[in-house]
Amino acid sequence: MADSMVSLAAVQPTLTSQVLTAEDFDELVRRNQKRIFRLLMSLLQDEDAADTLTQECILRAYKKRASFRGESSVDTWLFRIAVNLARDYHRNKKQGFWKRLFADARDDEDDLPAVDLVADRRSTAEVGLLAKEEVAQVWHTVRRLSPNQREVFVLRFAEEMGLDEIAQTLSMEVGTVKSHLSRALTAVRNRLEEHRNGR
Amino acid sequence: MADDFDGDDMKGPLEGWRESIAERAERPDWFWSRQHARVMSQINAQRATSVPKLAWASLAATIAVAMLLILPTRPEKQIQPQAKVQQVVMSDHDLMLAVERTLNAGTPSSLEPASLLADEMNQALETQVQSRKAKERKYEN
Repeated sequence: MADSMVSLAAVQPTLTSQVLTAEDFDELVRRNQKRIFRLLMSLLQDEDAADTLTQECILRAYKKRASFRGESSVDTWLFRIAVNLARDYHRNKKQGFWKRLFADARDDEDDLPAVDLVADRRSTAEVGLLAKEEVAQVWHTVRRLSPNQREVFVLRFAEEMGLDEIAQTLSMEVGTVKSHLSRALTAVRNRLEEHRNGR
Repeated sequence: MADDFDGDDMKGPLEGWRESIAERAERPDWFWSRQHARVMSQINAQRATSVPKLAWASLAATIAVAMLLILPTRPEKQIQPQAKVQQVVMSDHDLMLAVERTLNAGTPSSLEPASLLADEMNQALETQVQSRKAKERKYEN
């Protein structure tokens, strides 16, 4: 969390469309590829798609660099492109992609790779079975959020963005961001309470 | 973060969830290097396609400028100075004296062959006339 906050604060690009060259993109790729990949992984939960769309995101930014007016930071601009790509991906792959995910979740809801990784690492030390199950419940809920709620939730809690930055990234009003976030949190909270109550 | 949007009451599960994302997104260095190389190769490929257009345009512009600089400017048409006609203002008296002088000077040297020919023709003609007259007198007698 601290790392990403530092990287976001430290890199406040002052680049404008006049100076976005291919050489600038060399640096932009190095600086942003991990964050974009992580964001796309959170939104898509597909490693190959996240890899492909990360590359596509940078390439699309290069093609459209003339349209970057410097109204937001380059990082925010790249995130916006990434979110739009994820939306397109969902739109195109909705049927097969989500059916497969839901089928996997139904087969063995606790046997989620992401949860396993965390649980494997944390269960050895400070976190027990309950924590592992609760993380699984968060994943379960995030998958069932609406696209807007999921995007806001991921940007807020995975990328630790402020509300203003989320609003810029998603081209929304801050009030709308708050509304989506509130609903997403309520959904997660309800799911966890249900789980704690043994339902 | 504002309290309403922090999810403080779910801090543990939310942190666990975020860490699970970081775990899933973790990749070895070669993965990032390969991704970086792929992106940059595509960007460079795009640059390569756009460079010839620029190159041709700049080449054409350079040639045009070079032509303007190198080609000698066309020499201005030199106006030949017109022969000045010397106008000699002569009074009537002087003009009459010049005419008289010319007549007295005889045949100009350039016309001497013509005048010689004319003299010979006149002599031949006179000879012819005299011989005809002599024949006529002879017949009359």
